[in-house]
Amino acid sequence: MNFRRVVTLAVKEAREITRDRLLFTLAFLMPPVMMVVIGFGVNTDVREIPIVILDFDRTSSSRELAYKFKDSQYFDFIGYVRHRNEIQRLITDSKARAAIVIPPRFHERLRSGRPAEVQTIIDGAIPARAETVGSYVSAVIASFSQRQVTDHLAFTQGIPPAAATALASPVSLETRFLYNEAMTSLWAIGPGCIMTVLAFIPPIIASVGVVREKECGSIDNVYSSTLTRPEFVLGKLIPYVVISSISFCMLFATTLLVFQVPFRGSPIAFAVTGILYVTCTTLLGMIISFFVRSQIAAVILAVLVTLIPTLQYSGMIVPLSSLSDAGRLQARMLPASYFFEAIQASFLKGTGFVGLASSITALGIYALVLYALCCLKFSKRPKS
Amino acid sequence: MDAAALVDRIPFASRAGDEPQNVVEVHGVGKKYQRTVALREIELKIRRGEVFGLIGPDGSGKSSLIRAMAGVQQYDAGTIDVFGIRIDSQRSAERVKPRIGLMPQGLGNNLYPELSINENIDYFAGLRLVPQDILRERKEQLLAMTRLAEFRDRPMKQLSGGMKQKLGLVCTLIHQPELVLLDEPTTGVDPVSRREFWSILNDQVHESGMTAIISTAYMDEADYMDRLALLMDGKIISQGSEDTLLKRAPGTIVSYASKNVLLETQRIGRHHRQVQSLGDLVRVFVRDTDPETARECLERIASPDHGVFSTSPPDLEDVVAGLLIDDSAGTTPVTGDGRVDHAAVARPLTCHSDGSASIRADQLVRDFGTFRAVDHVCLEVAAGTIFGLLGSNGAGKTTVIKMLTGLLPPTSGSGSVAGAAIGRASQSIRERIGYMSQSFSLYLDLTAMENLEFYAGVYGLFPTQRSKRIAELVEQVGLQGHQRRLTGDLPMGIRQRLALACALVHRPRVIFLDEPTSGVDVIGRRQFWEILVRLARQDGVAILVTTHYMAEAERCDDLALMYAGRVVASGTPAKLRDQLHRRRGTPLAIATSSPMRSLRLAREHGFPRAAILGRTLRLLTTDIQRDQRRLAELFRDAKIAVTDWRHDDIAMEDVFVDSILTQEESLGQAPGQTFPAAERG
Amino acid sequence: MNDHGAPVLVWAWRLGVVCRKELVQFLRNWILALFMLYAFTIMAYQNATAISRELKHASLVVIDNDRSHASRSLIYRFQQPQFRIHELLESSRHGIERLDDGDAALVLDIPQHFDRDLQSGRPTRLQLQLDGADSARAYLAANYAGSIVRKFSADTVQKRFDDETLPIVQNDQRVWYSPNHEETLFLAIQDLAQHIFLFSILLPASALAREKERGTVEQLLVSPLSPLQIMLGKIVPMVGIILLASVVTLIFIIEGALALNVRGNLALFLGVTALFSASAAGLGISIASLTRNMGQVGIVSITLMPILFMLSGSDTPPEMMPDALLPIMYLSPLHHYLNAAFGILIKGADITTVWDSILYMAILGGGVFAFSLVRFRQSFR
Repeated sequence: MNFRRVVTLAVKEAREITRDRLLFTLAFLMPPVMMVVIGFGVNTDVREIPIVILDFDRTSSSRELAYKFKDSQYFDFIGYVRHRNEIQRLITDSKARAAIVIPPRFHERLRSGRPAEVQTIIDGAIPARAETVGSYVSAVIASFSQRQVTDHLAFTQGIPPAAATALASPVSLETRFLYNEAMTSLWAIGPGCIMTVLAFIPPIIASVGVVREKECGSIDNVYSSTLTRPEFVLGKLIPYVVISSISFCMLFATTLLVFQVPFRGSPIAFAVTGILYVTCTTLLGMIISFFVRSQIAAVILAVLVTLIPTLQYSGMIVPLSSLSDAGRLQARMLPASYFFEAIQASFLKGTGFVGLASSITALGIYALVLYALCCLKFSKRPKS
Repeated sequence: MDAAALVDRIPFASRAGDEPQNVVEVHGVGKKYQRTVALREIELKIRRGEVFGLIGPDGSGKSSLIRAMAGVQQYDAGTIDVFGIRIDSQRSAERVKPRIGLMPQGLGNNLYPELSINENIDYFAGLRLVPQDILRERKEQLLAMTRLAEFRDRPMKQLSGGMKQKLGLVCTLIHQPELVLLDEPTTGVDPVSRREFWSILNDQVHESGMTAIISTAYMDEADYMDRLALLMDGKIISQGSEDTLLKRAPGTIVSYASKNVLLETQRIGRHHRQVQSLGDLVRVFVRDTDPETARECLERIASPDHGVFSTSPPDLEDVVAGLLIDDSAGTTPVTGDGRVDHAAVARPLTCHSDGSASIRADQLVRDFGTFRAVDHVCLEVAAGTIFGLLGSNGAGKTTVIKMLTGLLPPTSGSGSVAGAAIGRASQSIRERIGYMSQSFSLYLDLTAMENLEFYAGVYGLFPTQRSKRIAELVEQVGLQGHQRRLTGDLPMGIRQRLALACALVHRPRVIFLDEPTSGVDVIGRRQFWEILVRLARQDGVAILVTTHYMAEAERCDDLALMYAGRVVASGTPAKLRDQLHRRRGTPLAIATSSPMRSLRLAREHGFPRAAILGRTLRLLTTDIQRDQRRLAELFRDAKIAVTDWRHDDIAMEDVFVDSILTQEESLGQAPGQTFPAAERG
Repeated sequence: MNDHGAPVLVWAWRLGVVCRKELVQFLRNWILALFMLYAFTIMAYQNATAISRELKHASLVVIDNDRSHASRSLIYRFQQPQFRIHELLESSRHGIERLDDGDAALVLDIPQHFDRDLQSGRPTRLQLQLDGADSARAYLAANYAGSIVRKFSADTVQKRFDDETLPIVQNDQRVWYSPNHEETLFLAIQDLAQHIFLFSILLPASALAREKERGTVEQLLVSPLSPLQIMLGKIVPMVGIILLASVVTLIFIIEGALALNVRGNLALFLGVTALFSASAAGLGISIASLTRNMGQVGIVSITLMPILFMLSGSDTPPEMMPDALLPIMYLSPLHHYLNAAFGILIKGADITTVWDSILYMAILGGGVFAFSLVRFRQSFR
């Protein structure tokens, strides 16, 4: 390994990138812009669920139940409907996500201490959301029900309301979210965006850089020189990693300053992990460009290999534990899953080097394997 | 590379003992790309210190051979030894790479457009680990020699074609390789730059004892080479010195004027296979070395109204064309060149010139930012004539064509094509225009037939007419047997004929051809021009063609020479030659023992426009007696032996070179240092 | 040359010739075609089955300070597949450690005297601590755990007043279109939409970029083809190919390999898909008309696509979107397509319900198409 040659190549590459205005602008401007849009746009909370109520009873009890939904920040009460077909229409058209049907004689049954049943209809088209919506609806009804039982017990047993409450709900659950007490979605999504954005910007820039050299023929200079294969890969890699590392720092700053996510870990340890991660994704782009010949194939391959899987398998939207075995295997094949663990650990939990050791090791091995593959795949004396 | 290498200009003397005398030995080499055979049974031995040329048509395997020798591409059969090391693996190829330099094909393709001259050189030197102090010294020396020094901070993309190519050479030589391999280094470069390039290269080779392997498409450059090999279809047809090659196809060139050149060439073509029409001249290659017999032979068959016969020995281009025809006889059908096309002669002229089918440009100007690519260009092309637009890369030829075809709005000025103002051509006007762009407007992933069908369909031909018209075109341009092949696999010559067929599919009245023969071999070019001549003469088509081959300029009816966006000379070829003759006299070619020194001497002593053409010094003189005496004295004093004095006719190249030099002088620039070639579409 | 046939016929014939050429070129580049086949079959299958947005195997650490019958029966209710009991601990100190290490997703703390309190009617309080760093999982887990505890509590009350009736409001919950929270169809459609989007943008964009790079586009511009024909020639064949690929996914993957039932009118779905693909292709063409080469096309589309994916509304519903980002969402044809596709395939909607999505897509597609047409004319005239 001769470092003068590596530096020569790296300097040349850096000069070329910095003089391609559009590429340079996009490489630095797009990541933060994307980050802000995705960070503020993706939200796993469910709030203001559009809901309609079909009230066959129209009594104080049914109105009381309806009021519970109106009053909740989780629901956006659209209005009453008159017929079941209307529910059908609104849900099919995604105008409402849930509907409550209050049966006739609802009030009468409750007053007389008998159980009553309300029907709730949930739009299941988007299953993950349906589940959350369903549990929120259940929670509102359960609290209404508990209230009815408490009142009933207080009245029939002649005990004070506090005692009645204890009887009506013997077990209560106190939920505490650690690390993110208010469950601010942005705190979870924001840092994840660093991973997402850096999953596809570096590979595309790197692969375009390599394919360009291949297409216009200047790769012949490398073929005919004494530059060795590891030197070539390293020299090409360095400028792109440097650019991506700068991007990484900008994104890191965006998370802290724009998203206001607390950072509790070791910044140095996290930066090391981040640089390793962008090294991996850059190498991914390079290996793609060694395998394919045309730019179009390189671009499509880069999107398919990095973009869609990263969104789905990295753990940001879908918890890693929810993946099937095949899915988990796929997730582990991407550098993103290792980096995402480091993000979670560093930002909210506050682990230092020790906590990130496994991520750093995994990414390090990943980078080395890709580097070796690149060196093997690149031939200085190709068949054609 | 150590410091001693620079001091010792012949660094290999010490190594000569343990190394073979042949720098490169190629034995039985073959190479295939999927189905096409690129090289077969190549045998070559290249001696230390010689300039070895590879000539041959495009697709004949020159590039594959050079790349295999440079160790940057694998070959399938045989052996290649470079400096006595067998190149058979990546590892062994690495061992010779420090000692070689490769300049791949394509003008400036191996350079980085965004980087300045300085940065490009530093990059190459860095890759080759040239020590800083040596680099500094060597860079200055090479930049001074190529006269690029004052532009060292200019980005490569803003250099003219000639400067790019000189920079490419500097980058290839920066680590003082013992062997350089240059793949078509002069294609697409104007004659002035080509001459300069060769003199720099000759200097380097002869003074430092380097070995050079160079491929070229220009036959006249064979003069610069010690030995050469002629390739065709992946085989070496002939190799040896230029004289050896000339002897392979002995004969005489007979030329004479004729009233109806077209019919005359067809008539003669029945007896002699190499017949060309040059304006109103017929030029025949008679396979007989005795001028008298050759003349008699033609007198018997020429039409009675022939002009005066003149004879000359054939040049390399004629010989190569002869060898290629001999070689290809029976394998590929050769049409066009000399074969009588009875159908074409008998066919009534379907379209007559109606006066509107012509091209006119009036004071066309085009600016790109602050750079003026085209500067007040005027030209006029009548129906039935061929107009040649000459000039080097970046002179503005393409921009003129783009404005005329409506692809680019002019900054100012006007023009008309086929009766419509430029840029406003309606669909019906556009149906009368044919256009063949510089990069060959073909889809490489379609077959020849699919390309033809596509363009026929685009021009609105329905299936029945279409198949009839395509069959006609296939015959006319000679594409038989190639219809089903992928365009990307076709040799350049066939490809360019296909592109012409595509441009002709709708029988246009006006045709624009942008460097249609760039990179095409001798025969291909000649056949192509026969087709053009027939189109103009028989069908009355107006043709505007750009080229940087001076030989092709002779075949045009009218010419305009462009330089730095301006037309610097125009008129018929005869008129241009005549003008130069009156202004500067006749060319004097002097063969000397030391061409470079004699050039320097001549330039210093009142012949600033003297140039080296091959091994001979060439200059224009109005007073032959006086100047010959003066030069003879000069050379005698300098102890340079003169082997031959020859008076030559003015060639188009002389006209072109003279016009450019005049321009450069008037612009107050050092010759060769021109303008940024920032043409874009 | 062509004073034959009606002008309309000649126009259509020319367009046909341009389209045919594009198809031949696509098929010649068989690696790309193979790649596309892979994306629309194997990858579609994989993405539909491999991931799940539901809570699965969330590792639960229980600190059972009571070790009674009641505590065991509560723990027993935390079942697979949602929860996986990772460990039973006796001290709450270690619970936090497990969360810190990332070994546990949630820690349930059952107090001492849990059983006794239940028997005696004294209220008792369970504590649940969740790893909030993984917010997606934490939310789901909290909801699940909450409903399990509510059920346990209600059952306890019911048992206590065994002989009495109580005014309990039962919740008869029905989830339409996906009674078992079956996600596969949703994921398959989402994935199909993303692939259609990706290829619809990239294929026409790269076809145009390639012609610009090779210089063949000049040849077309000099010919009697109008810019409209040139651009339609890029869009129509690609939309055709993509439509074909979508049918393959629909028949062989969704209905075949995944054996899912699709509702709704397939012809309507294909029509909507064609419109979506065409409007995305218009977007691709306008990217190509703004850039100079394939590399730039790649970079611009790769920055645009994830934004449009994320803001399509399938991950975050419009009601949760910040107001500033809503316009981007409504400008994305993907959002309207997903609305229509879910409507038709999952809910069996007909045109009277999805007409607004169709209208939006048509307006958006027409808009970008007109823009690129103008832009294309400008850059060459």
